[in-house]
Amino acid sequence: MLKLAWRNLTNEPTRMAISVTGIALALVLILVIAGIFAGSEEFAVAYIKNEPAPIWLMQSGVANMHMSSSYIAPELIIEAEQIKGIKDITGVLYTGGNLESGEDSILGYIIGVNPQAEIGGPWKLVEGRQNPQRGEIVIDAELAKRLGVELGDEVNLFNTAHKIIGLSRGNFGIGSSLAFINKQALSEWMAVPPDASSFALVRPDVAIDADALAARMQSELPDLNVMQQAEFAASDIDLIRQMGVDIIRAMNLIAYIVGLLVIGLTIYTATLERSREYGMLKALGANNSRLAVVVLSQALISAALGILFGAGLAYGVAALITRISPDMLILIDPEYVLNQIPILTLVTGIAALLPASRIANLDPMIAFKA
Amino acid sequence: MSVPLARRNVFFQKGKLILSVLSIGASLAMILLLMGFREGLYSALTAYVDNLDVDLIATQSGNEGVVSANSVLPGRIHNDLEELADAREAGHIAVAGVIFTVDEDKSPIVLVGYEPDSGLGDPWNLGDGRYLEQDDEILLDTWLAQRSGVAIGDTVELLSREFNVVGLTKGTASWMAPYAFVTLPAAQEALGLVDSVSYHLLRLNNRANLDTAKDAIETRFPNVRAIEPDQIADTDRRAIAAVMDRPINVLLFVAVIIGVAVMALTSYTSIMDRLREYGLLKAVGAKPLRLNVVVIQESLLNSSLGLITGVALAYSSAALIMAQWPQFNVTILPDSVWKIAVLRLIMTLLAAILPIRRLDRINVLDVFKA
Amino acid sequence: MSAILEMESVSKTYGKGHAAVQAVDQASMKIEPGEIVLIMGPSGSGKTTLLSMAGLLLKPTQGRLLINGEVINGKSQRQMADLRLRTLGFIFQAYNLLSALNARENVEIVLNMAGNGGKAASTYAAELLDKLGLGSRKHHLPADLSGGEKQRVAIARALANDPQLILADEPTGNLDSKTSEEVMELFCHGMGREQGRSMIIVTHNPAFERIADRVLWLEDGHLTNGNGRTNH
Repeated sequence: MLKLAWRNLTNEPTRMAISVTGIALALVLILVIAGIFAGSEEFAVAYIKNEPAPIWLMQSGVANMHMSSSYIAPELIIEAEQIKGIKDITGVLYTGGNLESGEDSILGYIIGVNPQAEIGGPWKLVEGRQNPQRGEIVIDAELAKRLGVELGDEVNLFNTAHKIIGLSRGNFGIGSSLAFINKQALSEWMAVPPDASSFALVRPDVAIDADALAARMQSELPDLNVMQQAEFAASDIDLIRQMGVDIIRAMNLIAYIVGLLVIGLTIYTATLERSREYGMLKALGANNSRLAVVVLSQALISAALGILFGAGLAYGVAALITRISPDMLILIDPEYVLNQIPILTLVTGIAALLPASRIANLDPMIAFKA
Repeated sequence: MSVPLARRNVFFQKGKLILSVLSIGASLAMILLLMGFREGLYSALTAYVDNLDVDLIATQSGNEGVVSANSVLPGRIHNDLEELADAREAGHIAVAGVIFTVDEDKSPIVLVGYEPDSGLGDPWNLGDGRYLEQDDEILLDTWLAQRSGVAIGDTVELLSREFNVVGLTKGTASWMAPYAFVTLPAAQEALGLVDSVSYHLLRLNNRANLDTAKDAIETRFPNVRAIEPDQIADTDRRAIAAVMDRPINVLLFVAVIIGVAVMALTSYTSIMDRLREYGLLKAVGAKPLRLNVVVIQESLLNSSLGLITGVALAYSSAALIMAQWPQFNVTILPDSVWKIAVLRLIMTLLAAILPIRRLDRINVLDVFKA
Repeated sequence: MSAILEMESVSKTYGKGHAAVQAVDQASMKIEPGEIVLIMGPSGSGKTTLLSMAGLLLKPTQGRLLINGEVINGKSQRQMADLRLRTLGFIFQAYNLLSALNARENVEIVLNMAGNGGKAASTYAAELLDKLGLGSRKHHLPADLSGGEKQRVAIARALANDPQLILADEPTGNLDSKTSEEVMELFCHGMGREQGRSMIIVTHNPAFERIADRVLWLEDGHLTNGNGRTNH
């Protein structure tokens, strides 16, 4: 029966190819949308993960950087610095802004760093320098390409021209692009004291246990939230995941419905055109369940091929898009791909119901008709 | 031809017709829903500005959005602005993106601090409860409250401060960042805005001239821009679009290809079902062009029915989605429907290529088979 | 009056080299106006190939084909299709009706293809069916017609554009004996033979011999007249 199913399908290779493509594309949709969110997670936490600061300070009640605001008064930083076991604390300012060049505009996060600070700025510089003075800026090299600018050119930020003094790498993501400017200049813009910070990066002394230090800092600084690096990154990832879960579910539902209809259409028409043959098999003694197996097998084979093709295509599409548009990192998790299989199997089973019921109602006498 | 062969072929098998039309309809609906989702996302994010019943918004120069920017202005220039603009009413608001957390559930929100007494900047649609009276009170979006398991009378924590939920708003939901409202002093305190606000809102006297007001303000305060709400909303839309359009366009592209595949499957299957009949027509003298026209007519008929079905499906799905999941605003514009109608034509013609090529390869001698 | 169809030493070879198969070998025949010619022979003898070439559906590998004295070899597909539409009519063993069209529409569609549309075509198609005793079955789909009825619709279709030559391939192959008789009767008296319309009938049914003017025998690709002599 499996052989019959395979033959029925491959008898019309073009139709089979079209339907497998349809199923594959439905899967591509599912994988790409999840991949976009997964990719944006990567970029969103790139700053937290790459800065060499095991401990982060932020306003009490704040536990995220992405889409968030935080304010640390200067005196709290001073208070923190008194705690034993700290090598240094680097405060940065953090706000949103539009980087503009000509007609192009990219929304991103602006980080104000002290030129003398060792950390808090771009962690990977490909060209120029990374300690922006007033009126200077460091942006991602890919972002510069998108805006059509180079080292030494100017971009507009807050209606003020900023000269590009450095090009970094790893700071250009959808909705999470980073640019670095002078902290003092930014503090004036944000109307906060120059020593105020949004977030503070803490480096422990050598041989100091970061866990213990973080706990101690939290107990001594009740007006701040103290988070360790991994925990802070996980918090932002969690945020993005929670934001994405509804969208992903909604898109997946639509894609599954489309996939169901494509499989249903293929198998139904394949069954219709072979009504006579199925009738003949019935006349020869095949029971309905046996024939249903043929139909289901056809559906499953189509779905399996669609899944294989779709998974491969999704990876290809992801790679191509990321190549063309590096800010759109699409990460496809193999486990997520595997998780689609049971659902698509169920969808396939449902799609096979209509053709199977059609066969069940076939009159074997059809075999005798001219 | 007088005999409507294409129409007859399409309507001959009801079951197949329904499946085909549903498949095409579903794939077109998917495209419309994606477009509606994009439009709805932007509308949801600019909902506050769109509903602000004011003539001018004074914002920090270079920060000319509400959602996409972080404007900071001195609070003390309030009276000057009112006078310069010849305003009958003036108010100010603080706006910032923060994370709202209840247990483990996180949601980015746009926090708006407004003055309840000013009559400006308040939520435009209070569903349940009452407006703010005290600084320790908060208005939450109805969907956000439901999602977080919060009701009127509950206490929630935001930026380490406790707020009593006194009202639930409508029209403020968004999967990306719903709105929440506190009093201005509460927002200033939570956000560290000492004597600062984000925006000044101005309602002009009837006799006042908009351009004159703008000029007066911008001349007196060079770092202030006086902008109409429409423009601010537009700035926000463009900023968000620059971020979100790319990934959405990728999904749209995949959805369009799926649509073409579904249409190709329908047309191709139809041809294959009738291969012998087309062979017969060729045998008795039908020109290839004539047969190709029949194929295209069939495809157009199927896709037209599919378009009607798809539009109906899209609108009803949108209504269902918004009723069930208010965080998703799906706005299907008439413009989008026109675009899909045209796109559908192109997709149909593309989809007809394979069946037409198959027709070319028909072996007319098959008519002699018993 | 010239012959409607002339085949001069027509051959058809499939494949090349060692794999070449000679389906028809140097066949010649002339079909005069008003003639009914039978082509008989065992299965696999090349009858369908010969009929296909006569029906301008298959190009000969060798030899000349003439319709009304005009050489057909070298004509384009378009010209051949036009000739088939206006000069020839076809009747098949499997009827080959269009399943989505009713009986009248199955006849009318070939009229449309020849440029005749509108009410006139519709009326004429109905008249043809009336003449063939299908007046009450005009609006039925093929699935609702008996084998004999389907074949009569196919006959009406074949006659629609007033062809000079009708080619029938096993026209009674799927019919019972009574219906076969009816069809043969039609072929004899209802096909316009008196007006000069000719027929080539490929058949296994010896009963057709009584209505035929000539019987040709095709075996292993060689065409002979009924008495074993090569046909010219």
